[in-house]
Amino acid sequence: MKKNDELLNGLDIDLETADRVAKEYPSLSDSAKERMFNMAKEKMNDTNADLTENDNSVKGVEIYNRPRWIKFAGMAAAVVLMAGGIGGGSYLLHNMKSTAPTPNSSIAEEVTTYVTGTVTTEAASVETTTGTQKAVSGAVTEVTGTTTITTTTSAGAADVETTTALNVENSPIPEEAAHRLTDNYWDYAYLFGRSVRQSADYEHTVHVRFETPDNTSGDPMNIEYDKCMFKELADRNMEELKEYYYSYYTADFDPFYDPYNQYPDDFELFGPSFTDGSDMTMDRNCVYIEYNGELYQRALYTSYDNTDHWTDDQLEITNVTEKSFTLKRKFRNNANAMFGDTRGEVIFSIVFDEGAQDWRIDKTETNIQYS
Amino acid sequence: MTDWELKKQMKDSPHECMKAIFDEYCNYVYVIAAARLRTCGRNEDIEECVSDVFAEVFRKTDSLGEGQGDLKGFIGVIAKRKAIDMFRRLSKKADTTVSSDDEDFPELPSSENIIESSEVSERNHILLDKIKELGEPDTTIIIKQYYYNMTVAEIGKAISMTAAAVQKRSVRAREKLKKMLCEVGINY
Repeated sequence: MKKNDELLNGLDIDLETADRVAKEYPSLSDSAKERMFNMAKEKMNDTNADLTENDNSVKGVEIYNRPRWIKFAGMAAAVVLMAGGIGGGSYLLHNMKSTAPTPNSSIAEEVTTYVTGTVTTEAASVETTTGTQKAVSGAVTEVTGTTTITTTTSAGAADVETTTALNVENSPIPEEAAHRLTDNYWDYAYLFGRSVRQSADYEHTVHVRFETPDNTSGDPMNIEYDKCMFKELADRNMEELKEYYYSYYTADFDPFYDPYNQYPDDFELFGPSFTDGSDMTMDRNCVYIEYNGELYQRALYTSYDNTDHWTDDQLEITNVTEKSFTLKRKFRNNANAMFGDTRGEVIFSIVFDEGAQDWRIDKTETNIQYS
Repeated sequence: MTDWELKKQMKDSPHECMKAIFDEYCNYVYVIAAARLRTCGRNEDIEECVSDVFAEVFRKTDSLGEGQGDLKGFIGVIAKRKAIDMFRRLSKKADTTVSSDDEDFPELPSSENIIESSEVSERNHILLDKIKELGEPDTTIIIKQYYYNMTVAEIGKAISMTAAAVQKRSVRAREKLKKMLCEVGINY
């Protein structure tokens, strides 16, 4: 009945009214109040227990007693480390002082093998990279539209030699030797070859009979020699010419190296000596002869003004060992009757000549670029 | 009892403090809970709600701000919220879920809706005044029956009347109350 009472079923009591009703008409019995109070306490305790069920509490502080020996062990270890560092450092310092290589005497042992083959159709040129590798390249190579002709003058026969490489790049000796041997190279280079420069006194001419038959007539050759007028050779006899020659070249140097096999291999640089009235006959083809104590050179028709000269490019010295080094110098030739403006480089193999106790040119290789 | 007094007493003698609080506000909480749960629950449910309210009040005494507000307002707010929670729980259990669009749906008061709260408060104020104008024992019968959700037997036992007499007086009192409310513009 009361549930369906429209009067008070929708009662939405406010707090003030509730307070008034509670104060003016307290209706709960003591037993009901006691029952609800106990229930409330019980719920509060249960809720507190639920809330603290998973709580963990930490009380007190556990004192950690560090073992005393750790302190002394640490100190001892530190002392050992310091002593080791100082001792090791001083030892290394002392050791490196006594054995440290100087730039001029540091030795790097390397085995360098030179291979030069007996050339039949092409010249074998030796290219050195870093002193440890060697490669044989052809004499004629195409380089981006320009033709490079390589002419190699070498000692000839195949040989294999092993040298001990020394790191003496910082030594001034190779550079000094390079300058001394090659600065005036263009003054003497063409004096010693098959096509020597002509500067002869044609008023003083002698003829020497060469027994080898002429290729065309079959008769023995009658070779004309003219008195040398070169300033470098003037007033020199054969011995002095040789002395002059060997002041630049080694005994193994082949001034007639013929990479293209164009000429019969019967040339010699230094010929016999003749005097007035002697038998003017020789068994070999010579560039120079001595006649009455004066030098005469073979008359060839290659006279022209040679204007080869070094450019201002720096000398390039490589493959420096105790007994040898390689020198590259660039040259230029002003246009002349035979060639236009040409450029090129000469590669010298310079070795230490034990006999002369000085540096000498052992091989040359001339690369000319015709633009 | 202010918050500060409550916390001090709670610290000194918690049991006595809780008992004092409970005795002071037990009827207050009960009236609030009964007003909400009387349509869907039994008296045991109301008592359960009251115990929930005080259990929470006792737990939250430590978190009360010092010197801010009085305990009555604090307990009243907890009571209303607990009553609403219980109402929802009981409605769900009884499968009596009502749509909020239904006209019968008892609107849940919001403390933020000041106008609505004022109207409810004013109406309740008038209603209580009119109940008091009924005169004894009708006033007591109606108060116990509707604000404390007591049965006629319980009321009869409390005021030394038979249940049938209480029932008769209750019916007459409600009829009279309706007329009194109609006179002041409140229709049911």
